[in-house]
Amino acid sequence: MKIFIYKCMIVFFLFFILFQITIGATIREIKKQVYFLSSEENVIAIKKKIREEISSANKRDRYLDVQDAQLIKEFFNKIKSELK
Amino acid sequence: MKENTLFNSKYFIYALFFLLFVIGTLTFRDYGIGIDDKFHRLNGFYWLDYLLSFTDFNDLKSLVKIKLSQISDISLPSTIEYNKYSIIFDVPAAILELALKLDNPKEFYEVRHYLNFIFYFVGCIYFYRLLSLRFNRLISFFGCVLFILSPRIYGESFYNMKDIVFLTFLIMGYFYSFRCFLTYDIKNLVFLSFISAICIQTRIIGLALPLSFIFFYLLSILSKKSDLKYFGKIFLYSIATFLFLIAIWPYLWSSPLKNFLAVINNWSPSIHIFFNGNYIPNDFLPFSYIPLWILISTPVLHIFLFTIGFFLIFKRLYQRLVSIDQNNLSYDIWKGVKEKFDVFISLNFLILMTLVIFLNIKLLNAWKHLYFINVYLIYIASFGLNNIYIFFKKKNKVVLFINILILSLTLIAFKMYKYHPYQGLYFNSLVSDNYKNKFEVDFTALSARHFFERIFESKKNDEKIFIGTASWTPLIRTLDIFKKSEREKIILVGQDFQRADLIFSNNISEVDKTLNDKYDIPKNFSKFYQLKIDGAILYTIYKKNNL
Repeated sequence: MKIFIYKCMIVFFLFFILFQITIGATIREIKKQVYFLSSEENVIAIKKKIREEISSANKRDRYLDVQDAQLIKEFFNKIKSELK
Repeated sequence: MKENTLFNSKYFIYALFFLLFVIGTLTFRDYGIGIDDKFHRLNGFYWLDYLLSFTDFNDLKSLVKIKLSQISDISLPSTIEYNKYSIIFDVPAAILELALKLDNPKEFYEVRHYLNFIFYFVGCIYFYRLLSLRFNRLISFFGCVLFILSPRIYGESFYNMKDIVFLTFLIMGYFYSFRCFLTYDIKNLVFLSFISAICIQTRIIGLALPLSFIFFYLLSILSKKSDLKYFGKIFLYSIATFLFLIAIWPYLWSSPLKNFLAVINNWSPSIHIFFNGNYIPNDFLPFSYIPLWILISTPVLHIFLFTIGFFLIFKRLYQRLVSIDQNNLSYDIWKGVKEKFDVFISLNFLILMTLVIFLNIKLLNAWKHLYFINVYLIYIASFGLNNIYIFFKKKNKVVLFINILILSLTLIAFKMYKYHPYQGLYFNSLVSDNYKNKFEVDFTALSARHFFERIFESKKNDEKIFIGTASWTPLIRTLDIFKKSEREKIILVGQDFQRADLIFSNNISEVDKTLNDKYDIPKNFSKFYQLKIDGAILYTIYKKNNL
């Protein structure tokens, strides 16, 4: 009986460690990512990035390259003609 | 050098404690005011006020109320948060402040620091007594020296009013546990139950002491049914611990179970901490957090001896486990009481470390919350030291052993002297200067005192100085210790940097500094001064360019 109890204690201890470094660590990582995505820091970082992108776009001569502009123009014209 | 005539003399240990006491007494004023000092003072007077409400000491009551009303600043937590904290240090400190009629903040903070040191000093004496129950006088002496020469613990012994106090009571708890293992007599069990209650009251993790003591008793029964005769005493111990806990913890008086559960759920705040070069949320600390902190902030000698001791204890435990016999006459996992002490300490260490590392416990300020594990570290290191001593003794080279040990300890003592009064921020010689600055260095803001002293030295006139804080450090708490005329010169503007003349900065931040620009230094400021200790930056001052 006592040997069984010792074995149970050791197995429980090792199982706890094994669980924590495999499944526990994965759950922790997922929680961390969710925490980061919903954190104030992340919102601030996204806002900052958007500001930087708009600011750098404002400094350019053109927003769109010629081919893209042509493509969008044709697309809008097509939509417009279909809406008539 | 004859071992029997020098270090084996009891006068040598008296000399060690005398020296420690003298050094502590001469230097306690050198330490800065930590961010927790004001908070502990508030806690002390809050509970003293509560305790006095049951008495008729009206003069004292009104005096305490006045003191309580004077302790306020916006950086302090609300009553709901601080009333869960321990009263073991804070209330006696508040009584001492009243008894000595101290009204000058510098004086009452210094007296608290000295009282804190006295607790630590008592802890050192008990640690020696604990080792004496297991090892010979030589190893107990050097084990105690290793304990004293733990730089972070020594430094914090002057201003850490919770973790060091807990460490002291935990040492006392283990001492009485050992005594109970020797003889389960009522006197020692009553002492142990009282100390266990204090440990739980000081830090909730103190529950580990009574739980492990009872668990070890159950392990004894597993091996020897005859130990069932002590069951009544152990039951009595459990009841006494519970009663003492209720008696010494006023917070539990109104609603014991509900409030006890509230304490268990009362963890540190959720903030970012600077660890290994990154700001990480303390809700998700990596597994390496505690092991790495211990590895870089504990002297190499301690780590070396601990590694040997840990390996030897667990090797022996493994051998005991694989040779358990159903019909064994002695105990299964220890033979003799000294071996039981080793197993008790080592399993406590292993289980607590495993739980802290894997259960994602929220921590901050390096490993301050786990300073109590220094008991295990040094005990196991002393075990390692004992084995090395036996090895040298067999080779007839005890003198060489002692010389090497003294030399190594002298080097640590010298480094502690070099760090003074910042021993609490110690990094060992394995760490490069660059690497030290990838960790939060001065969370308790000890260096803030140095910062203000430097400002007052350079500005002798009455001109106002506007100071911004690019850090989570509440500078206002340190400012209390200066004279009113000096305090009035300082205007703290927080993060309103455009109003600031100087900006105080360190790597303590509750937000991720790489994503949040809250603490970004404006471009019209440039680096003016930096305080470094052994390569670690404690703080940096930035000055407005046109000043």
